Amino acid sequence: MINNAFGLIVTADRSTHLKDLTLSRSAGAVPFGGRYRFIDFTLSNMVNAGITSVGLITEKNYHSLMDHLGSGKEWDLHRKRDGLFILPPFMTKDNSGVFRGDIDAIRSVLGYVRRTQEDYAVLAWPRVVMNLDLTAMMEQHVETGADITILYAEDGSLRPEEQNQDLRLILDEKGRVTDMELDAYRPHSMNRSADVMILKKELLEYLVEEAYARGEYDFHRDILLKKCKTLNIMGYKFEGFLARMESVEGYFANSMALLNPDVQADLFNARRPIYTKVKDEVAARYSVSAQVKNSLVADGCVIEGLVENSILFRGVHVKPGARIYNSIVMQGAEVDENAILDHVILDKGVKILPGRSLQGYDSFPIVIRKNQTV
Amino acid sequence: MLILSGDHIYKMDYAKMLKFHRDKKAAATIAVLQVPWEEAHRFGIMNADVNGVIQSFEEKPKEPKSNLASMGIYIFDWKKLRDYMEADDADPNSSNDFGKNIIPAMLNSGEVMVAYPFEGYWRDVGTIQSLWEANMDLLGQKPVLDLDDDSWRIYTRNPVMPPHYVSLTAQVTNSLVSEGAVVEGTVTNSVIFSGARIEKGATVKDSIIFPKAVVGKNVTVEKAIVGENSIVGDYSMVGGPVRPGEKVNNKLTGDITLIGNDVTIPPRAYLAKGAVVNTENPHQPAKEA
Repeated sequence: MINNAFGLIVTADRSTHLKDLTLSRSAGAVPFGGRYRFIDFTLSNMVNAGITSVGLITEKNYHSLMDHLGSGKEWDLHRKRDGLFILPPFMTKDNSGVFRGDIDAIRSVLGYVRRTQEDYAVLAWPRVVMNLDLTAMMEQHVETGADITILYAEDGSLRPEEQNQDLRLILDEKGRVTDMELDAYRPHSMNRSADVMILKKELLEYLVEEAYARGEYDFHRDILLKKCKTLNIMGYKFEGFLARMESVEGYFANSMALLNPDVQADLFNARRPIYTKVKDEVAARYSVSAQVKNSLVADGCVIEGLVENSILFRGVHVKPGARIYNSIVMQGAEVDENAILDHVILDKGVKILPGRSLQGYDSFPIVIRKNQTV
Repeated sequence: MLILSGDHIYKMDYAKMLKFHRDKKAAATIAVLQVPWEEAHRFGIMNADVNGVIQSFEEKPKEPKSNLASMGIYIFDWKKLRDYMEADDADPNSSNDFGKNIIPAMLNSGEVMVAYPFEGYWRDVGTIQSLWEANMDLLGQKPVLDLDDDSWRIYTRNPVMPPHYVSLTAQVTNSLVSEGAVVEGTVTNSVIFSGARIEKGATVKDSIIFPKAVVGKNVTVEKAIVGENSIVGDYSMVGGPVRPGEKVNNKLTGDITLIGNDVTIPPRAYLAKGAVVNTENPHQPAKEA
């Protein structure tokens, strides 16, 4: 367990391109896996490792995030000492209130950072979803005496057109980072940062202030890349299931991966549970005409139609004769009689009228915006 | 003072009952439900006048005079109740029971006691049969008891579990399935609690599977209750016909087969209809005929 680190989560993040899914919410609040938000995984990883102080940097559209997090009770972060701090963007004499990049974001909350009692900062971006044993990563960080430890996972894919904060680590045999590339067109390494970093609190303060003083704002490019040779930066390899949420296609593919029981066992590892806001929903109800195969179904759903290879969030209603294939249906959506959906993502509260049909593709899932009627 | 039972299933606004109690200036108000006449002998029956004032009370009468059954929900004037309870406590011959002692004593002393008529779903689930029935009442196209009611939420502890997973080999109809469950077999007319596991080839029919119970591969479960954390070994039969020469003590269960909590049933076991298996009374494999 970790007792001398605090968490700092950067939700002010422009690198996630989830189109309509992030129209009304920040990236951390995007629903995933039938009942979770991205942020749930980041927060759970921290509290499961014993972290009791978490600061959450917000930028805009953080209403949805605040609504979801509440007092932090579900994560055991409603505490007299420490707890969950939602840090809204603010403007002062020193802070322009302008977020050009992560350095601006972190600098604007240095007040929180200074007040924390802990020695180490765990810096995370909720655009990567996984179940991480943060304690083991911290142990390595302390043992190796590294200045910064960066979590990475192998990523052999090349998607230059989608690159955003694609940080590649070139490691020596001891796991030390000898070089880095950001958004390289032809990366020289499969080892890609998973956007979790551990460093001393003082070092974080120093790096951010120093970079800011020189007018820099991109944490990855202006701090990590530039300090790569002078600081002792180590990699820590993540071996489990990891979902990068950088595009709608990625989000879709990662959601579908959850239908694999091995992935479920890894991500929803009972030793490190993923906490989320609870809703006291009733159990899902299957009617006589329900036909469900290979799907994840959350509480409160009523299923009277056919559902295959899909993920249904809480309170979804699938009416008789409706057919849903390879789709993600978010909370409270309603699919009426004889409607057909394939490769579709329905955001919260969407209503599909009787007989309507929508057909997307693996490479182009159709996204229907929150509360729309088709 | 509002007195309730923990083994009743119903949705009720106690505020309305309290208003009734105040309006009637009663010493005690007892919620009553109209039950079918043929079942009235199983309940505590209130005989009330047109204004709802209770004239007499009979516990499980052989020949009921009314079909207003006490639901076991009482509102008392606390000071009065305390006096009667203290007097009752001092009486060595009393069995210290609400229905048998306190209420008759209050009636005999001429206290104003009124019956509050309740309409709606109410079940006492104190027996295996009624527990099973109440669970089955949640099923159907328009369930008798609809828990999916935004105006009257039922709150509970929420297990920290992912959505339930229904595999390629599964078939689920007319059932309730809760979070964290994994269904790989066939489930019909059943209630599956959180974290339960129905493995490949298994068939679960007309049954209740409690949290984290495991129904193994190719198991058949019919009209049964499987307790929390219990495991039914592969190829077992739960709730099969009573075989010739077999004796089943089904006094408590009728035709419902009951597996208690934390029980492990070995593979290829046979549990006949009405059998009870729990940790004190483990499964005894039948002797080969």
